[in-house]
Amino acid sequence: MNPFPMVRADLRAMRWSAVVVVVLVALAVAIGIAVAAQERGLRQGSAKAADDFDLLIGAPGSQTQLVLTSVYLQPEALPLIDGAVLNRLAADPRVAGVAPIAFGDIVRGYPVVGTTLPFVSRWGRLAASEGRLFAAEAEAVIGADVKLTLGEDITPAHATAGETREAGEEGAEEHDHKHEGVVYHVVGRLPRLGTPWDRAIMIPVESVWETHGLGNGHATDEAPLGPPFDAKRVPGVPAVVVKPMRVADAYQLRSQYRKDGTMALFPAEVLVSLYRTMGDLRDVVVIAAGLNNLLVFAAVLLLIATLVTLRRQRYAVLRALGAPRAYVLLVTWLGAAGLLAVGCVFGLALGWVASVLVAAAVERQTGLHVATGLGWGELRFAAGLVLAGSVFSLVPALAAWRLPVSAGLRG
Amino acid sequence: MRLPDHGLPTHAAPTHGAPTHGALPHGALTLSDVRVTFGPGGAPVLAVDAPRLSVAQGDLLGISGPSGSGKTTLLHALAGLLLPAHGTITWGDATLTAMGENARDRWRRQHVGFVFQDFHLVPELSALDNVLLTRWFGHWSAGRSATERALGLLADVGVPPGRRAGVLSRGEQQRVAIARALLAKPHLILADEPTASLDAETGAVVADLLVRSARETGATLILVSHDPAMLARMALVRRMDKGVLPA
Repeated sequence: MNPFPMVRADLRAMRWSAVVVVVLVALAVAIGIAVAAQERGLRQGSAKAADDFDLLIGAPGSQTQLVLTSVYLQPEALPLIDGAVLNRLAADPRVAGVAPIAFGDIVRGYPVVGTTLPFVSRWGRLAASEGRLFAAEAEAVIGADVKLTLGEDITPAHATAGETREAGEEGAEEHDHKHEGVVYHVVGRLPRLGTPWDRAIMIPVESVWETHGLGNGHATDEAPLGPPFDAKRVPGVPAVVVKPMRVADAYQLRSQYRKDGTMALFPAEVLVSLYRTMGDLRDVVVIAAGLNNLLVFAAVLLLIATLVTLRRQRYAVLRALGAPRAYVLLVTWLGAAGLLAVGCVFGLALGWVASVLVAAAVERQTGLHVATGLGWGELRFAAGLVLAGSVFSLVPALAAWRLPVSAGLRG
Repeated sequence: MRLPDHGLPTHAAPTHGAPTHGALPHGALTLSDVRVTFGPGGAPVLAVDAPRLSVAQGDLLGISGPSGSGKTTLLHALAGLLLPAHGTITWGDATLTAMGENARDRWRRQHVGFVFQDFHLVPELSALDNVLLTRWFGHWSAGRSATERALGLLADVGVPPGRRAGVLSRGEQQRVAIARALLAKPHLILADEPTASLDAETGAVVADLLVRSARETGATLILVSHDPAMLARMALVRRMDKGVLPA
């Protein structure tokens, strides 16, 4: 038997209802897909961004805030720790690398971060994609997404904590709080990292100290950049990134710097806690999306059942013309299951588009690259819905199958 | 008009007393003590009471009667669409009332052409696809010979094969419905008020087509109608009243 000519005729007959069914199912599926894909992408993106931050040391306070400010460059004023910590860590045999992170200034909305050359090169892993890395106090290296040109001279301004402005634009606040007379020369650009640091302007930490009238951290003006900082009093910094030699060293260092005016943490442990919170939230959203799907599928099946009831005379005619019950069952089942399957496929595509758009918005807002591919989880979710829809489509199909022909012919 | 034999090998042109062939033989249609009831088992309503009826192969039988007299119910019983509460219906050597539902579906598909008062075409399909519709009940493809026969039938009833059924006039729709009923060269044509929805002129054309088609193919034609002009074309007319078809 060939039910498809009748399936096509049925779908053509109820084309507007069919469109509504497909749209409803697609929207319901897309919400579930987008939530799952986005949550996974955020998790992967945020974990990747923290890869180069093995151990963070800052002043006692909020661990989350220290991670958000240092790793994700979310502007927030942090208390400073004694700059002498830098020298102690640099001399510690358990430390493979140490770098200060000093922020607080912006240029055209881009955060200016003072650090050292080893950290700019991510402990020697990165080279400039254009130009070179900084070699003097007045030089700056920019992230891949900073819309400045090499050779450009820039003047930083005091950033207002929590200020949100489109990067690349100079706001009135920034204009009014410029460090007059301070000029950085852009000498290089880093390759894309897919992290908020792609939107950072990196300068030697000595420049940050100098700009704020704290000296350069060295005993003389001619001292080379970076540790040791041999000034009588090394200026404080909001955060220090440490690359331990070994895992055991990392734990020892974390333990050691959790007292005496400092706080040490693994960004990963803070992220795990954040993910747990995100996961709880995700679970709530997933349950809500699941209920949403259930309601939409129930409404759609009710609509299809109603349409089948309205078409009982049509199916009775088929039976009167000699169609076996199985033919009518196939026509109604294929029509309903086909609509649900098409809705699921569109939902999958729509969910992917939604997650791409949300990821782009997140990246625009934070600089964090969120991977947006559809995973097996989403594909399994859509396949499960298609399967469930196919099974539930049997309900209206069985109603058509049980139809008494003689009564159906009378309309 | 002479309906052509377009080569669909269903059966030989029937004659009175022709030998039966295939799994389901054709021939005379007989009803014996048939009673169709509706409603709950305790207090059923008698819808049809037909003590005896015999229609020979190739006969043209009209059944008249007022609305609600059980004509359509009787037709549905003859088509095997519903089983009588009592009695037997036989078609040649086959006892329709003893068949299961699947066998009755198959029998109907192979031997019966049904024409409805409201045509009941599928408006979204073309005239050709409507005529071929019954082929898809048992085959993936309509097949070349069936398609040729369908095209021939549509040419004979004067309806363009590619036009969507929904845009055809009522007369054209009923002609397509008749072509659909004739596709499988049925032994038995059952028609339920085939001219009731048509104006007198179109009804006459359709009535002529139906009677001529039955005569030319040797099919038995049983129709129920209020239309005196339609009934006048029948060789035999029986009148039903209050569900009773007198013996």
